[in-house]
Amino acid sequence: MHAEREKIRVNIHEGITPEGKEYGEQFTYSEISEEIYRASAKPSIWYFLGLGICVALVLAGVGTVAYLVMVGMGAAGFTPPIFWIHFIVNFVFWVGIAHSGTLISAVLHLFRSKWRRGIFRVAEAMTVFAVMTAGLFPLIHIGRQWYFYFLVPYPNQRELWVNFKSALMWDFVAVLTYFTVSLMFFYVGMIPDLATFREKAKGIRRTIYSILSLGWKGTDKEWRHYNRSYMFFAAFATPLVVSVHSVVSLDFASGVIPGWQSTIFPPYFVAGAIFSGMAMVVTIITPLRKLMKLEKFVTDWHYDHMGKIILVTGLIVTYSYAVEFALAIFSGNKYEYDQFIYRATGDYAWAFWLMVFCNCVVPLFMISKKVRTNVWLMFVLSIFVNIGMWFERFNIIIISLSHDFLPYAFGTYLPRWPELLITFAAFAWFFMWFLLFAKFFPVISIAETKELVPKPLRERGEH
Amino acid sequence: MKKVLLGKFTYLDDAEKVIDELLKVGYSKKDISFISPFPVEHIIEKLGGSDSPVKYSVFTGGVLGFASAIALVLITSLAYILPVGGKPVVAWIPYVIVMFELTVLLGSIFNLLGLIAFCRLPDIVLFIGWRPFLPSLTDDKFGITVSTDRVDEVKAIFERNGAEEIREYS
Repeated sequence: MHAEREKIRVNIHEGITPEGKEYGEQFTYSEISEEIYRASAKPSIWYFLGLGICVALVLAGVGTVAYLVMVGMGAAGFTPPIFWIHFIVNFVFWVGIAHSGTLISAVLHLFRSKWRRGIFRVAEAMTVFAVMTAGLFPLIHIGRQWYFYFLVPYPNQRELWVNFKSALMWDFVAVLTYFTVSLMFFYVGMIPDLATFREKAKGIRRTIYSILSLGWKGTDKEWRHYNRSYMFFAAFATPLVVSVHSVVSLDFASGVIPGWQSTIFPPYFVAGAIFSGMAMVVTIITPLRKLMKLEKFVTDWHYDHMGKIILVTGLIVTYSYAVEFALAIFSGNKYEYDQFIYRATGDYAWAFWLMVFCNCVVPLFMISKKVRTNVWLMFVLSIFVNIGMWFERFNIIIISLSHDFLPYAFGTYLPRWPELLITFAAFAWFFMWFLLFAKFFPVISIAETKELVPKPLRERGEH
Repeated sequence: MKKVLLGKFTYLDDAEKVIDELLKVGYSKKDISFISPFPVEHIIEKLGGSDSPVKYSVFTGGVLGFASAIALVLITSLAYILPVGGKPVVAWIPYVIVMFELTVLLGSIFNLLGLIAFCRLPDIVLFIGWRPFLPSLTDDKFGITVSTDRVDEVKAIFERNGAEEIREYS
């Protein structure tokens, strides 16, 4: 076991294996195609168990939404003053989760980072599924889902037009763009790998991969257009990383509620999004690499880099918390001051301190190289970060709404079962899509990993 | 009548030598196609440069997105006057978000369309197996296809440089 671990260990600074090979050098081309195809083709019993649990929870969630439609949103805990309840907490959390996928695939691609190659496909899939999850919550939250199309600007008999000065419309446009661009980026990146799968699969799977790969052959002309197109996608997606969560933060910052109206929100939210997204990548990829035997492809070298990003963004988030408090204390705004004192000492102090522990203390463990390269310890720490980031959104939304200007309007809140069930169902929805993706699609980029393998040259007499 | 010859190679330098020889004996870059499981930059460069007309389609999409965003926000603001938050009826600063997002959205959509169009995808003929292609070319081999009426000459070049398999398509 120890020997096996040593075999897959890659030097964390240079990406060098103990045998002196660079990451990628230890593979052959057909080994890469074969192992990644095998990982997708033969799931274990644990896979089906996990998928079954996810599907059951999703069905329960669908039933609960139907119940809310029948009896009204009051059953979900819609009580003054906390009308945004868990649903908007979940929306912001999942949009945040979506962020690191684009960071890894686009930003690190532009920087020609090598280590992204082992994990970027998983991160991109995570982005797409996280946005699909996030998008559910505004829909559920409006209560009358059949009026959702009111958000779409089109000439209509009501002679009404949407208000593009509203943060709600910015959100709609930003999230829609983010989802569409992420989906296209994800799909385009997969086309050459789907062609590899096409040649390995048989029967109906082959037909499906043939259609999805669009008849990709890998000619020099195709690669020429592909490389350029991929670079444009990366260039477009990079500002989106910054813009989408900035726009989401403006939902709050353009409001007047104490604890919301702050100019620090856009950078604070973007850092938090990357922080939580990267932690979610660790949470997902750790069991995945074990179940699908992908240890060779995702090594402690990758974990080290992911740990560094979590550490840095965690420090930015911690700094942002401190600045929020400093602004509240020194701004002279007594409502703002009162809000932050309430956060730390009031009814929800437990949620605040849980957030501080998970987001400010836990990432500090990652200063240690030993921690960053310990796969299962990273997995545990990433779960703490996920919990902490969910509670960050809980604190911003729930506590601010429960304690605004008038003591008369103050109120506390306890989630009710439909809300909790839908929250858990959302996690199940996300993981269900992820498990289906892992079963049918290449979870690691075949073509990009092959680029790392030394080119076979007759003169060198090797392959 | 021209035929298409496909040669399969294990070694990249063999394939490169074939391309050099073919260019030397007078074949144009258009007649030669190099197939590989991953992009090989220097060969792509040799057979036509790394530039791609996809950029024009991206630019068109971006401009169209930006222009349609301006039209959308202007028309909607003026068609339904909604003075809110002390902002002017046509408030450019909040509209920057919409303009940015639609520029990116349409630029990306046109990027995908450009990619598909310039790569001439979907290649339905490949599905039925008529195109010169072998499964191992998406795995661990390199392929070269040449459109030629001098079959023997091309075959000789392929064989001399270590082709593992040669196929002929009409």
